[in-house]
Amino acid sequence: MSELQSRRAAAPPSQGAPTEFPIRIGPARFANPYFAASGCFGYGLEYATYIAPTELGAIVTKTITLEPRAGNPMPRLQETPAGLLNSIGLQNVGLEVYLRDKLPELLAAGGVPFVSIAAAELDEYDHMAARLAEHPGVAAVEVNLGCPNVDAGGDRDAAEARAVERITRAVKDRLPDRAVAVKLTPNVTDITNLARGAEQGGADAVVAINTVSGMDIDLQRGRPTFARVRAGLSGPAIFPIALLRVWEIARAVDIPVVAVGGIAGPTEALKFFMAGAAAVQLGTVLYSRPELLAEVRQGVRDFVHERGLSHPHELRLGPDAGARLDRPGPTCAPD
Amino acid sequence: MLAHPSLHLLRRPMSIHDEGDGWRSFMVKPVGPASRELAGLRPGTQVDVTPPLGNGFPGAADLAAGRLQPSARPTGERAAAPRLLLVGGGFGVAPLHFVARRLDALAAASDYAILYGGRTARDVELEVLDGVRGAVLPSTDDGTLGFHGTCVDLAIEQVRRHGPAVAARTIVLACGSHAMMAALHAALRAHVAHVFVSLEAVMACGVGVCMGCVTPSVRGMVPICTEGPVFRSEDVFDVATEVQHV
Repeated sequence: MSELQSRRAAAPPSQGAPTEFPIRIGPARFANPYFAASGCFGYGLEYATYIAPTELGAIVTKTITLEPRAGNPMPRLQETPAGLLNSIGLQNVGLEVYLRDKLPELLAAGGVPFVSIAAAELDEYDHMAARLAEHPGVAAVEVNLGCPNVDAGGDRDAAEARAVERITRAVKDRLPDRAVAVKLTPNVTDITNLARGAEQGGADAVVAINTVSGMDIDLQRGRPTFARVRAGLSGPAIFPIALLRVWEIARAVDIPVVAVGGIAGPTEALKFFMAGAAAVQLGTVLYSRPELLAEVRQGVRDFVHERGLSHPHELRLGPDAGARLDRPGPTCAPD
Repeated sequence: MLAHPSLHLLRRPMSIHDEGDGWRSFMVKPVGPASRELAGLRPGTQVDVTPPLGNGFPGAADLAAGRLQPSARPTGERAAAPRLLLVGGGFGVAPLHFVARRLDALAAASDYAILYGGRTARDVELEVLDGVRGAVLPSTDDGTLGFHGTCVDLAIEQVRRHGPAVAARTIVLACGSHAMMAALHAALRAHVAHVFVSLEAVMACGVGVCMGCVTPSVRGMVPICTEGPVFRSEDVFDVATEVQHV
């Protein structure tokens, strides 16, 4: 049975978010299943003009590293058809400045911090998790194992399920009373191996997917657009990729899956819930349309209630839903 | 930033060319599919716009009075009655027109000139500056219109012509290519009171979240969308960096 439970009758969480389809991930409760994706909502207050932090079940922060990072050379962005390539390189203020300046601000505004972290070594994860554990306001931690834009700790390392398991265990050991989620890269042959690694390491949830690796070439200059060549693709273009990964993971592990990648409206969120997601994250779309959060919420609410259901988790398709896909279908032999 | 009416994902950062009651005008250079589409909109089209973001050029009243925060690297006298040089490369002239309109709206006439440069006469559309009260000095790289040379050359010529006393109370506002503004800074910063530059970059969020539009600065790698787009030139051009610019 999934750890995830509908808690309609339960008392609302202590934080100020409006209670709508509350969810539980491990030891943490969230007022709603709509989170801001890492890298797309800053440290939580930058979008306050458009979205009050209390509107979101949680805010996954810009990924924090132990030391501040200046990030990659410019250019860092390239729009693609229905997508956005980025090569930011985890520019962030570093753990101590985050804890001192950014975390208290978000907590004061009533936001729920889901702190995204990345590190190059196991010791560094251990240290960061220990520091985060000292701050009771940190509701949850997302381990960013899938960033394509850095050398150490990037998605190449994460391609080993055993590494995922070790890193997860190091973080979870320090944070037994918080939710620890592991964000996985889609840039592997079988993402379910990574998800199982996270589960075995004690993760309370997996988050799928991180950006899809891609590149671009500057025609005029005759060279790759990005200094690191590889960049991460996000936006509506990657939604079908994310949906398949969420579907696969939801059938491979018993911990909740938080779906992210290409939500552009209620439709994608609903499909993620049907595929088995416990919660969804909105990312790139917020850059141009922050009002979309409200549209997604309304659309999901309407869809769920029109069907006489009480929670989007009830939308999850049963084990038989994909069965016909497993039967040999008609072959596509040429005439 | 303007939302694109079709399939383009991101808004496009555009400086305001002019505004009136219920309307704003923009100059959009058609360089790719998205900007071509925006440039093809008919006047009067409604476009979803996020509010002016970041920090623009200093306000007209402060500019006219020379009432600016002293530069971290003062090189001139306090510009009590400043001479303003508004240097626009190509479509970079748009926000300078906006500044000029604001200066024109002040009670007292301001001493300003707009230097408007392009590669050739076709690139210098003087009608976008119609009605401004200050002097308009065009320049073309090929000499087909106005001064023969770049607008940076013209700015240097202007500063030289008026001598060091005027230079010391000259404030330069510039918008154009990164190379043009860097050249302007290198040539003039030491001789004039202030140089302000409006930087350009591909932007995604516009609110300092995505870190996609950063520039090296005296305050580290800062987002152009929130810390700029207008910077003091010495704050962004005198910084050692390996960062490349398009």
